[in-house]
Amino acid sequence: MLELIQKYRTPLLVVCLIMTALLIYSSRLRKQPETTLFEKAILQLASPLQRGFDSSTDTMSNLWQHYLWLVDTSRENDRLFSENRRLLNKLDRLSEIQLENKRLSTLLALREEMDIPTLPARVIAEDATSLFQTVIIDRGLEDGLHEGLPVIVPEGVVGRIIRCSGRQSRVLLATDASSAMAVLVQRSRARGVCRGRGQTLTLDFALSKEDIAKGDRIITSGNGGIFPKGLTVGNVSLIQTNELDLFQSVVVTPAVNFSRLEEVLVLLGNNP
Amino acid sequence: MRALFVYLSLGLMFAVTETLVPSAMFVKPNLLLLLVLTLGLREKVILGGPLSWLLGGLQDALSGASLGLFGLVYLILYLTVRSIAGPLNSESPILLLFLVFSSTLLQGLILIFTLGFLAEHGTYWRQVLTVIPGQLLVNLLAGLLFLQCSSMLSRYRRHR
Repeated sequence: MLELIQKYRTPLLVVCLIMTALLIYSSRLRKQPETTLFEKAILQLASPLQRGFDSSTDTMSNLWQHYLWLVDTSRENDRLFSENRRLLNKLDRLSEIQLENKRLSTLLALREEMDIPTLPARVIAEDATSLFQTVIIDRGLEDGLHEGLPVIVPEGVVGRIIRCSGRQSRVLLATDASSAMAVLVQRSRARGVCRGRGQTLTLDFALSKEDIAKGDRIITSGNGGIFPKGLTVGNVSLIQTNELDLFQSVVVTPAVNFSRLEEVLVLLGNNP
Repeated sequence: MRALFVYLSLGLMFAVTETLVPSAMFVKPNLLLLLVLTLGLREKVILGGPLSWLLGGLQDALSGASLGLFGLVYLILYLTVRSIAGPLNSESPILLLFLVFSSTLLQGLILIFTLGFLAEHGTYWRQVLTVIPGQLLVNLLAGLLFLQCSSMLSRYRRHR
């Protein structure tokens, strides 16, 4: 028997090995997701070697590409810089368009809310002096505008047109000292006249006995024939009363930021 | 005729420039005032008088003022400067700065009286007084810039 084994040692070993391999393989087929101890050990051993090889390959590749092979780098750099500038410029324009779209959507919503026909306009210039508060809009007689038409934005009253030429008009802002409009306090319905004072407004002719509080909203009363009723003018920011005075002294902060006017709405059909 | 055209073109350019300065700046430089002062120092009444009124008209047309307000103010300023210009050295840069300073104050005073007596808007005087300190500073800076530009221009003309 021993002689037989010795005689066929090699073929037997081959068969045993194949059988073992098949057994191991068939047993592993049933437990496929598990990692064997052998596999773990091999992976553990291989890991530092792989990492080391990988990082040294990276280092060599970086060295070659960034320090030695620089034939097109400068040209590529220039191209990327110019592309970057172009893209930044495009991004700026897009964000400006987005903001403009937002403003115009608000204006459109206001236009749809109003019962009166309106005309949108763009502010193209400001007053030439520091004394008067006026702006120029890009619509004029040719667009059906004329002196006296009220101008508004979603936040409230802007002012009224005082000069009109073919393609542009001058709008007297509510904050100008020569501007005056009939208003009422929304909460208590107290009446008065709002006059411009440069940056703020004053509520004139508000009787001392009238109920006016800080923060009250001031709206147009519809009297005077220029502004329709109910447009926001501003909020009461300061009240000074004196028992001896007939009227109280009221300062109103305008609802509109006049230094940032861009698009406005002109009310064509005046319907107070 | 050429002087009239040059002054009016410059005036129009200055007035339009003023409308482009954002109102958020609180005070705007009064560039036309510099031209009126130059007129007062250099030009005779026959040209300077109507020109200063026209420059004021330009300012009125591009601002919320009634036509004629700045025309009157600039004409008074021109005549005042013209009346004292004889013994003065019109080439002196300090003189122009002094004139800018004093004419800004005088302009404020004339505006208060004109608006107070002739117009019915009663509260402009408060705004004029509020604006004057800033207006003085900005006008002086504009005057300095104007001097720099005019000296550069005269150097260039001498070279040619």
